[in-house]
Amino acid sequence: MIGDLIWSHGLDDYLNCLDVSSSGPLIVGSLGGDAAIIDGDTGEHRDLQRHEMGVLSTAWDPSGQRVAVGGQDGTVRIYDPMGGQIGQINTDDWVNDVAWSPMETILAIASGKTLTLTDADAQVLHRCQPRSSTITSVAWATTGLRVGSAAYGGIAWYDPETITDGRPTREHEFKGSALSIALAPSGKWACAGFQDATIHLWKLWSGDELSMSGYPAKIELLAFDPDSHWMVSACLEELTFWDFSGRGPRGRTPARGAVHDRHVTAVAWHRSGEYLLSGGADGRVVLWPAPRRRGEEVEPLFVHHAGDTVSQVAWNSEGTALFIGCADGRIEARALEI
Amino acid sequence: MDASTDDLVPVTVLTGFLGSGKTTLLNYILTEQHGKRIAVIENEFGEIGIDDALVLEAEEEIFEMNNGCICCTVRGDLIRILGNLMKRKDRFDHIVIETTGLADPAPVAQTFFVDPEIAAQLRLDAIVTVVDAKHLEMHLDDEKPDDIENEAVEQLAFADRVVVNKVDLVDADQLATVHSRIREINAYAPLVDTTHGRVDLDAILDVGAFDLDRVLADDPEFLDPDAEHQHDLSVTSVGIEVPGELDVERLNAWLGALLMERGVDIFRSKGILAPAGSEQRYVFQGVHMLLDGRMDRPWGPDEERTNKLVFIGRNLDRDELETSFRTCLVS
Repeated sequence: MIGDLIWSHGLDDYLNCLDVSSSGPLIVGSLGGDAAIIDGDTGEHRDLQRHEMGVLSTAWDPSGQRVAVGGQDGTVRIYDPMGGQIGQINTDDWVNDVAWSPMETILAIASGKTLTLTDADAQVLHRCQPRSSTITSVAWATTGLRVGSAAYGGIAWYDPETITDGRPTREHEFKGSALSIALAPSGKWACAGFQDATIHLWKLWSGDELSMSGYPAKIELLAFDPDSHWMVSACLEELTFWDFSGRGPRGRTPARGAVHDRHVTAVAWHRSGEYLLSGGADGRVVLWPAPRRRGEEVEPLFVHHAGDTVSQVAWNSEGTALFIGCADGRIEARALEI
Repeated sequence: MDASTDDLVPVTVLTGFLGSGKTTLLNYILTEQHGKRIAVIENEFGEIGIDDALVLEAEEEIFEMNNGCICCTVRGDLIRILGNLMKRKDRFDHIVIETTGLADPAPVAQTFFVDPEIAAQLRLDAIVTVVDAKHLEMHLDDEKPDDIENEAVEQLAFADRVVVNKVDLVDADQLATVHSRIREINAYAPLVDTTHGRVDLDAILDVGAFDLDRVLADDPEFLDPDAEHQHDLSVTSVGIEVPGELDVERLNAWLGALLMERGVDIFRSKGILAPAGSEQRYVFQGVHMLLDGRMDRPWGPDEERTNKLVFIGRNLDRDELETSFRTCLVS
């Protein structure tokens, strides 16, 4: 069950970003502009420089040595875990997403229509050619050799090692506005959620592709479990779990999770892949088991009421506690018994 | 769009050519609405600065929706900006979207139909088009290649309110001509004459033009079908009034086919209908192929069951529309 409050902290406005480092601390950012690094165990916090008009994206590198924070003001700052600033990149547009390569050597920054690649100290390596529309999301292939950007028209992939004129190495085209991107940790699949109520997926790098439609609205949340078995997608109040084991989801009926009564705003898989957290505009934080079989109606293990719209959910690095971010800027750490 | 909810933040879309006085009007609104929290979203740097408001700049980004409807385009930049704006604690009393001088208003309006997050928190109040009395005729007569719409015509066709600015620069005859030129295109949007963008704000703000409760509430005087057009126009308004009750199945088929086949050409549509077997009126309004409709208040005890429809669009044939609509009547 979701238990006692361990600590809480408040930012000035809507808790827009919350990411947990593999070594323990959290990075949080609000749409008001506050940003802070918080000790996951004690709640002790270090405030970072504000981003006027809001923080839009945050990411820890895989070993937890550096964290990137991007804002609507067009800047990205890289910090060490103590909050010491390592570098800054200035762009002209909203920084919608930031993502570290698995080898931690490259930071991919999506600002406006442009993908910029920098080294770990914020020195620009490449500015890719602008895409025809705004990049909403970026993700690295598990090999770390290729990074994908989602925008209207699908995913454009870039290979930092061989990039020369800033053109994509490969393009996965699909007509529609891609809002989110998710790569299976197995490296076998890339998925994108679209404004047109569709998920499109590509089997990497075979050219095989597949659309999953029939959703009632746009798809902004997609997340693979660590085993690349289930991919959860959220659309309005409902979660859908697609079975990606073996040959993948083609022709398979997904499992469903319907407990929220307003739209789902956040999802996070447990490191074991056995549990999922979801948060919603209804103020609920729901603890789910991974589906047992395809097509089932998944029953929640526990429902917690946060008292305000939930904007973010995350697990601590050991998977023994959880963090809840709310629309009023509050962050709570709560104990977990499973 | 559930327009009955009062806690939805109203959004005014301000269109008009560069130099028409859009920004002057916007500054006047902000000054007069002093004390209200207003957010302005603009797609181009205006000639004049904007004071006293949160101003967000955005680059116009139009997406075609992948739903088989070629005229269904939305504004991706607005989805992002409005989405973030509405998440913040800071609540706004009103949002004004100022489009570029050459913008097509359809994608802006359609964004409010298509995105559930936006529809849940905001309501499109009205499209307000500002024109310059001295230069309007020149813009309307500007010859465009066949496949390109004259933007001035388009902005008038979409308008719920037309602000005729700089009337001090024309004489009474010229103003009358300007009015009739506007009326030929859009017969239903109230006209507001002004100089220096000073208008009675009640005439343009919180007018509920997309509110189903207020569809055709102004009880428009339907155009005389025989009224002569002075100009060879492809974009016109057609109002139809047909008494009687409608066969719902035939009506659905008729409306569905009309919007499917002619949706590209029909910019705006509105109607109050009398379905057979129902004590309530049915109201609808639409932008191109996207339609929003529901059952409305009951008919009054002595109220005649009648159907009123308004279309504004390209190459509309009144006789054909009326004749085909009459086939929906219960015989």
